[in-house]
Amino acid sequence: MDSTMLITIWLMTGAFIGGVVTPVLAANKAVNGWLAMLGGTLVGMIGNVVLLVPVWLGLSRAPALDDGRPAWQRDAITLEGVRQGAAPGGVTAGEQMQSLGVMLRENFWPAPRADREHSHRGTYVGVFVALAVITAIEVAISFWEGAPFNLAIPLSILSAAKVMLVVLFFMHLRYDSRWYSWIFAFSLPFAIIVLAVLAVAD
Amino acid sequence: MSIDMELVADDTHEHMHDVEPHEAEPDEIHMPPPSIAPIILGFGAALFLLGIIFPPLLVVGLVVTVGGIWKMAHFPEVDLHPNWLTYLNDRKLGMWVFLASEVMFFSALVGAFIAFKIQEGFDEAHEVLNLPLATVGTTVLIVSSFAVVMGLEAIQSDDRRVFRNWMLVTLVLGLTFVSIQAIEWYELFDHGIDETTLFGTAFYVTTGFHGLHVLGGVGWLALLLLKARRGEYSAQNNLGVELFGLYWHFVDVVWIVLFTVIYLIH
Repeated sequence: MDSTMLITIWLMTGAFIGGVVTPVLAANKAVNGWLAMLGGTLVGMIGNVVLLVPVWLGLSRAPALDDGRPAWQRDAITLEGVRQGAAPGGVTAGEQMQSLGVMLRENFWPAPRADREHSHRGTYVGVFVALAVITAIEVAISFWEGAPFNLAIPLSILSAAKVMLVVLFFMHLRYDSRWYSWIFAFSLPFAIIVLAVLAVAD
Repeated sequence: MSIDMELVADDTHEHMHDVEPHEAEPDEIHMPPPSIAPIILGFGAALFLLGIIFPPLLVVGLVVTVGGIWKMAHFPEVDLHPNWLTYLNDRKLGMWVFLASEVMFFSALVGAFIAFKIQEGFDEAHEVLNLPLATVGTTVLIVSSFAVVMGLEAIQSDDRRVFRNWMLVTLVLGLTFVSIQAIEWYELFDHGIDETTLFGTAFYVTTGFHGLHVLGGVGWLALLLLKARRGEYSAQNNLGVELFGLYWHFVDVVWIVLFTVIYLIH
């Protein structure tokens, strides 16, 4: 994963949040929801570019340490250099952006497994994107007036899908011993009985 | 020759028993002695709860609780070798049993909320609820769950800096979520929805218990970060992080359900 990809993900996150939040905020205003979504996407993306400015300024002005490497290229605790071969002196804007990508990768992208065991990094990103998309769809559905069916049905299915995604992948039930799944599932009959009794009783 | 070896071995055992009188098994010599911290913590929490009846106890309880937490933070992270169902880890098994009990607890709360909703409709309350704010809160919790798995992945590859960064992100996001909840409660109170209305009772009890779980998770995470600062976690020793992750994801799962039931379905 290189810096271009990280910056793309950052911009897409901004676009996504803008695209989801703006139509929701504009729901009671006389604005077309799709227009609001488009505008929000643009504003969110631009906003995330603006948010990068202080980081970029701070990094470019950070004092260089004795070997000419800026402070952010060092481990905050040990003050040891964390990257080899950083060129001292003047750097172009392109290199600055690349350094930003390097900094983000070094600070937020987990290293591969030393024992060559399969790493789940890609899966986690995928599950996270899926959760975000499903949430957006849910919120959009809840604004649907005059649906031919009870909206509780698709909403329940979608949130059940989200719960399954979190439990299977983030809580590792898919990879762990089956016993943990059984123990967890053991509580479900009770939960269903409680829900059923409370829903039926009046 | 063999007698000599036995003597040496016996001698070593004697010596070990002198150093660690609590250890029954010589091969569990690395285990620290039992900690009194959980008892202090439990006592403090009980005092704190009794503070509802006698307010000065709130302060005493808080002090004792924080003391217990502090002592807990300085207890080394050890993994006991399971002696029952040996292919399962005892601590993880305990966590899953606890989470199963939490499912039952929250299903009762959610069930009650749905039952009241079926009876009363909660239509006018739905006008007051702030869906955009809750959507932001949901996003914040989902991102924080993602942050925890990335942190766990990092520490499993011994990437301690990335681990620490993601855990800090999680801490900030957890606090953000609690703040968003606080704003929501304030707004609802402002609109006259208090504990005397049926919706108020149902809403405050469910989201309140969830918020307490988030706060508890934030406290746990603070402890975890303290330990991480001392370099306690590594590729070989990260079960503590995984257990925290399980709890945090569960809190996220509860919110996914609450968000749908309270905010989306009407």
